[in-house]
Amino acid sequence: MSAIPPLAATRPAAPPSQAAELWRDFRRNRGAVIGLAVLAILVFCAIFANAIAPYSPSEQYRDATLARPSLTPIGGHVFVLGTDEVGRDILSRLIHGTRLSLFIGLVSVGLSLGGGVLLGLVAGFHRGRAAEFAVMRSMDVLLALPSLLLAVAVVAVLGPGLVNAMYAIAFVMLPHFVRLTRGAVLGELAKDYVAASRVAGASTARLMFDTVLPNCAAPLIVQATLGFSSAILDAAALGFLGLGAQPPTPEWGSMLASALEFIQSAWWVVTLPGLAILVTVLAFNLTGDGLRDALDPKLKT
Amino acid sequence: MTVPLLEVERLSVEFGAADAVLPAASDVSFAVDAGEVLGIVGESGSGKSVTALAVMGLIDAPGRVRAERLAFAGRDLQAMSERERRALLGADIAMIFQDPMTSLNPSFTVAFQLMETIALHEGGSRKARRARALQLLKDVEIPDAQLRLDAFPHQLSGGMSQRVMLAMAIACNPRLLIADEPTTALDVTVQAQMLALLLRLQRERGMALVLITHDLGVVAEVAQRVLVMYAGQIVESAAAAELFARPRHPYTEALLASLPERNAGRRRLASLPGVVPGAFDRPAGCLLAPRCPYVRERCRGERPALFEVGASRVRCFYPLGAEPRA
Repeated sequence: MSAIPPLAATRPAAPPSQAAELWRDFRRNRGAVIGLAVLAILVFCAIFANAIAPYSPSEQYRDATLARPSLTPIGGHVFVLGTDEVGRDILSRLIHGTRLSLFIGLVSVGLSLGGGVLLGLVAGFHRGRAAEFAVMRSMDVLLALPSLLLAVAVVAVLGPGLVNAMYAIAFVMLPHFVRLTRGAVLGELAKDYVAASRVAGASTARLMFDTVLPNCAAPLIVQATLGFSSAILDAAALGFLGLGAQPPTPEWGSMLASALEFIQSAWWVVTLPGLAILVTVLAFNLTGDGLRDALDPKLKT
Repeated sequence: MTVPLLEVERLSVEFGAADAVLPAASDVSFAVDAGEVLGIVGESGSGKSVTALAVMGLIDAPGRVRAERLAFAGRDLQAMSERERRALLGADIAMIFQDPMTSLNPSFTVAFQLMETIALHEGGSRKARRARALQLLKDVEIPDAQLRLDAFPHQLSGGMSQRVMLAMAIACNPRLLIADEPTTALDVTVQAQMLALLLRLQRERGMALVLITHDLGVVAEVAQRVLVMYAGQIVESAAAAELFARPRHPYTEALLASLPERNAGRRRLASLPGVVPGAFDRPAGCLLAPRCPYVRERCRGERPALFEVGASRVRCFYPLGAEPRA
């Protein structure tokens, strides 16, 4: 007799865990994988900046100001990416700048996400009531102002500096998170499992954070990743305007600003920080896109 | 006489602004005794679900709920604080919904959701709760219960989700289970299993069951008493056997006449033309008047109240097979 496999053997294997499934979908997108790899390198640079950077970011080598990128030692030092107008090693400054940029992204996205999720939950749960009106209309007001102008205004009130720039950026990004959260919450609230949870006696706070919020996570994760890149851009812009990080902090935006006068004579002083910003923002955007594709069930086959 | 488990008197639910009020339910009164199966039938938009949601306190602003009395086991639900009401409802009333695909939280596994409910009502160690969750899944006849414990809702079929939902509902040993069209979204073979399961659990546990459905066949099989609703009102309330043998309201008669079983040999199913009136086309008189085959002049001008006819109550001036009402 031909062997009929026992029933248990024909049963399909257990479906992959959510994390495994996410990684499988993410990996299909080559751009996203490259973005993630670049991000990994950037994070590595940020964490181990002190060990990797060949020189201190603020050490001035007076005999080598505006040295071209080259492998030839100048006065016993090799400046692979050249030096700036006061003789600081650009490579070291870029590596330390990574730390700042990622830190700015992390803090401002964190603040914005936290506040945005709270306000969005409140607005979504109080649909049609005064609370929703107050929250959503003030977000509309924030959205009506050009974002950089708003950030400049906030910094003008708080005073220039890196920390205040982060607050300003968080404030500017807030409406996006609020609107996104509220939209996702409204979509979830219409579903029966929320009603079931209410029937079971769940309080509003529990409904908000335990029942509904986990189901709104996907769009928020994507927006947070993309928000990282706009935070870094905004921080660079504020730094460029002299409202963010103050010299001699090796922040990419302020490096650009201080090198502006050498744009004709020493291309590397201006180009390299700009490239660093470009690569970082691109990496975040690619990763965010990949995450969105992987997390969006509508795009799955 | 014992106090009924659930008492609802003159419940009304309204939606919409003051100039365009839609009474989703009006003048709804009924009672459910312990261990009883009550069927609520009516077509879409007749106010069945809204009534259930209002009882559970799930109608949010801008919806308005009013009732002369709303009591569970003799305790007035309207006099309670939000918190007390939640505690009472969560412990003693459970509800299952129409769409099994959205009635489980997609973020958590079956075991997690079941164990959460169990923790709320019984407590116990993680291990004990997991064992209880498994037992509940077996009680609702889920095949391979052990395997399903760690499944996420999207990995379950509609029938299985509905069973898990039912398991969660009975996890707290409710005294009343409200099932809002529990079989509508399932296919026919699963419907029969689901109904048999509901009834078995109802009998074993002595729960009262309020079964909301638009399937008269289902009601005939399970319910002891039936409310027929139309456009937010109860139009007939009777014992199930009585209702099917002697429908008193023209609407009930039309519903029964449209059952396929009663149309054997005919080419077309009998049907009641028209739809339930909406917010802007409610007739001045009896709400059924535009669709009623027996309509008379009086029906167009005046709204009938619920009249006692034999053992039934009927909202009609000219109940079938009885004297006209004054």
